[in-house]
Amino acid sequence: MAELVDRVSALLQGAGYEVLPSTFAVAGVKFTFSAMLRGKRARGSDLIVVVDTSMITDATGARTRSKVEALSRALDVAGSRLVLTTVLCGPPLSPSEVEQLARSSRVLVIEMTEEGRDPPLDDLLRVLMPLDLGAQTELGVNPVDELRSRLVGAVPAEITEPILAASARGRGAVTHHLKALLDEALDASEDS
Amino acid sequence: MRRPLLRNLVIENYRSINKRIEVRLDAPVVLVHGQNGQGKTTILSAVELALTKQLSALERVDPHYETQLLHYGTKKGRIALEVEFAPEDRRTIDVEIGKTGVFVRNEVDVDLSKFFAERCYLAQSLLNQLLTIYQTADAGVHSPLSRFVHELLGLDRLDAIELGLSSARDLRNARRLSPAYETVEYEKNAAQKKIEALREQVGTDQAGLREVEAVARTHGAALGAEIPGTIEQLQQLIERLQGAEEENELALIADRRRRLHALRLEYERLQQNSPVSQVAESRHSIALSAFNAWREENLSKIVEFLDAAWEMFPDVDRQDFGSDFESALQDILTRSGSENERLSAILERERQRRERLEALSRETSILEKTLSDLNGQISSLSAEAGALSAALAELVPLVHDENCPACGRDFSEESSGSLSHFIATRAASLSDQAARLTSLTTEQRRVSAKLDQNRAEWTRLTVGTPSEAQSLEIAARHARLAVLLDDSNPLIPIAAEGTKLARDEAIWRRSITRSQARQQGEETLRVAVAQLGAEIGEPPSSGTEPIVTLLEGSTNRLTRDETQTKTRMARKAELIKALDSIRQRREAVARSRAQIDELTESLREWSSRFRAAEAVRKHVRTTLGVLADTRATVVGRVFNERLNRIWRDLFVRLAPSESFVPAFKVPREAHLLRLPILETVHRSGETGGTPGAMLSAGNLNTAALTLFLALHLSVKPKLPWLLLDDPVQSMDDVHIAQFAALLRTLAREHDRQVIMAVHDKQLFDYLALELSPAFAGDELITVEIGKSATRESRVLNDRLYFKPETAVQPAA
Repeated sequence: MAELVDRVSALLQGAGYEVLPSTFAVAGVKFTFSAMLRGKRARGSDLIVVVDTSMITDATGARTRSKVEALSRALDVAGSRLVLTTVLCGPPLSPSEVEQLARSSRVLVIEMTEEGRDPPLDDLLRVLMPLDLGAQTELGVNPVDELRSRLVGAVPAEITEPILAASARGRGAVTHHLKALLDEALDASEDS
Repeated sequence: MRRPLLRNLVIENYRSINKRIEVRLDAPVVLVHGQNGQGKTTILSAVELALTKQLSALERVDPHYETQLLHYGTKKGRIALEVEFAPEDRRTIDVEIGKTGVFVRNEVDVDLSKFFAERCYLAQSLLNQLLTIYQTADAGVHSPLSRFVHELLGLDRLDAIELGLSSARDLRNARRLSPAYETVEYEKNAAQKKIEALREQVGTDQAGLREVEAVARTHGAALGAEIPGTIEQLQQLIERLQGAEEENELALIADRRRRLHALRLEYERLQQNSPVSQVAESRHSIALSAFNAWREENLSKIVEFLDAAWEMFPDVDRQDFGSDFESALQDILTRSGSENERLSAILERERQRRERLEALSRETSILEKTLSDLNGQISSLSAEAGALSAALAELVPLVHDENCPACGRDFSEESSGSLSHFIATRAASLSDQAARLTSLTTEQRRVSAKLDQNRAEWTRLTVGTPSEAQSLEIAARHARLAVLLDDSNPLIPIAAEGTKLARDEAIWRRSITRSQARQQGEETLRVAVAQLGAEIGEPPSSGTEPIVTLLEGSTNRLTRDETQTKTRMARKAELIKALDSIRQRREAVARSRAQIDELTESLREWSSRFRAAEAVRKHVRTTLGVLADTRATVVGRVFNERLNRIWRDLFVRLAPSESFVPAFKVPREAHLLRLPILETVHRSGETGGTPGAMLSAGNLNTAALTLFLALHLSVKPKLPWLLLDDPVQSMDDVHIAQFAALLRTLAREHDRQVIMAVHDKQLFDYLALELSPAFAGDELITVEIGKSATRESRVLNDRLYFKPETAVQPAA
């Protein structure tokens, strides 16, 4: 699963995270993980450790869990305000371990079972990814103004304006005005 | 940070805030913690009130909430929200709260208000509303999703227009809305129908008119009259034709006919007499001479006898007989015969009378004698015998002895025998007397009566007795008659002959006279007939034609004239009828045409009104079409692929292992987009069912929250603020961690100012950690709100600054 770890690392680097040496010390305690990265600028408080679960010795992953817990405690001791995220790559750990792990760090699980049926990697890591909103649209004019501008040229304003005005008072007012229009047309004696 | 920027908030006596608090807001993230009821939601609602002048959640519950905003027991409250619109443009929105309501100064523009309410502030109620969207499968107009979309997009007015105008779409509904429609349509159709009917009528009338005109022309030609054109002239012609010439002619003809008839009768009458002839003349002279001969011989004898006879019968009118001697004679004989009888009868009657008188006389003497006898007998009898007898008889039963009831003496002294027997005998004897008296009286009366009778008859009979002289006279006359009758015998045949001859002569004489009269009459008649004929128009007569011929000729001519006149009359009548018919039809056609003109005008009027109404409807239909497009555009502007993309991104951040992602279904044809429909999309790309069906409860929460955020993020932010009221109450820890990261991303990467309230202390602490400042310039404000021992509201504001990290060191 080293390949997976590499892919994760590459993805995160692409998103602006900085790779740190996989062995480091916090409050004097040495820690080694498969990979380690830190965010920059806006993500400056993010600390990510990547664990290759295919390499761990115990089946449940209790050791991994306690390692991460130890890191978390060490960070507290050091007075750090870094936010810890653990990325588990590979075969799943036992759910209770994962649950416990989640108490001391954010946990992201990357399980690649078969190609094609798994979610894309960047979805699994999305919470760490920057948010791309694309081009933001203007809110636009309100619907009544929109309607008004579209009716220009198609329907005479002396008909549309009172209807648009009446709509503020509800459908009854609109119907009332429609009736008035029809009545006027039918009762009028001018030739149009 | 992006402008506008929230800087500061002061709240006094507003809802759960007792007294005054001040909250600093000028940091990218503000975390507010407080137990329930301490005022953390109040802080957020204070911002809402200042920016929108209303509290939408309360609006739904109590329309008069504005009067209930003061903290209990206070009279006045205040909210002051400081906003930085530009580095040199800081404004404080001031809200005065009183018992009657709120008053806002320095309020923001209405579009900012709207933006805040729709896209910045996630109150509990809005979160609940977002959740309920998933709970119903109903995608109809009234589903929670539709209502949400409507409110968000402000579509209610478009709806009002669409629903309000819908009845103009189809004619039936338009009629119901404006009943004048039906009237106009009805009048239009009615006018059209009437015009058609009238046109047909005109056609028929004109066809009929042509027929009648042909008939009129025929009659007119025969009468020498032309059919005029105008109705006036027609009228004049009719009046002329109605003159009475033919009647007068017929009257004249009738009169002449009568006269002719009279002449004919006269002719026939004259024909009854035979014409003058020689034969009649000679016959007459023969009769005359015969009669003369007789006269010479016999007349005097006859006359003599008749004179004598007439002397005896003076009441005979001699003129009655003229030359009819036979009749005169017969008359005399007849009279004589009856006179004779009469006289004989009288004589016999006299004789009988005398006899009777004698008998009476004898009878009377006898009766007188008898009467005197009777009188003598009666007088010798006592009248009282009867009464005495009766009295005595009554005494008998009262006598019981021999003593006389009257004098008292003893009867046996007087005579032997009993008293009662004596009385009885006496009574009986008296009674006999009485009886005898009675019968005598009766006889007396009878005789007396008979006597009277005889005397009466005597008187009667003697009255009518003729005198001596009279009797002699009668006898003499009787004798004379006998003589007369004797004398008459030989005269009878003579008289008969005379009469006959006289008659013959008279007959022939009269015949001649009549013939002469006839001849004269014929001459006169001829003149008259010829005259009449000339009048009638016959050719003058030569004077020799038989009158009959003349009469025939005149009659025929009259008949011909009459026939001609009648024919002419009939034709005139026909022509008048035809002309009248022409007049009527022409008038009818003129009337119909006038009506057609009127109705055509009227039809134009109705049609134009109808068209005007239809134009209105057309405009309405156009408007509705444009409205549908507008709605689709408006909806599509928000609920489109872009929104879906952002929503997906946010949702996946929070629920990375969920295989179904909620999305809005965007139809291929944009104009069909009336209301967005929720669906889920599998990560493989296939669409699944509705989120309510496909997602767990926890993820539904996530979907709601991320939808709100996606809506906020999909447009350019007028107000780059996110106010979140305890949105993670029901989230599990895993999600909360992702959510915190998301908030961080929003605040730091997209310059949003995030103000979030939580009630859970652990969560608050965790979030405070997660959201710690990450770079220089980044800050975090934490606000703890609670109440003092005296129940006054208190806040603890804390500001955290960036501290460079030194915890992680490379390992040696």
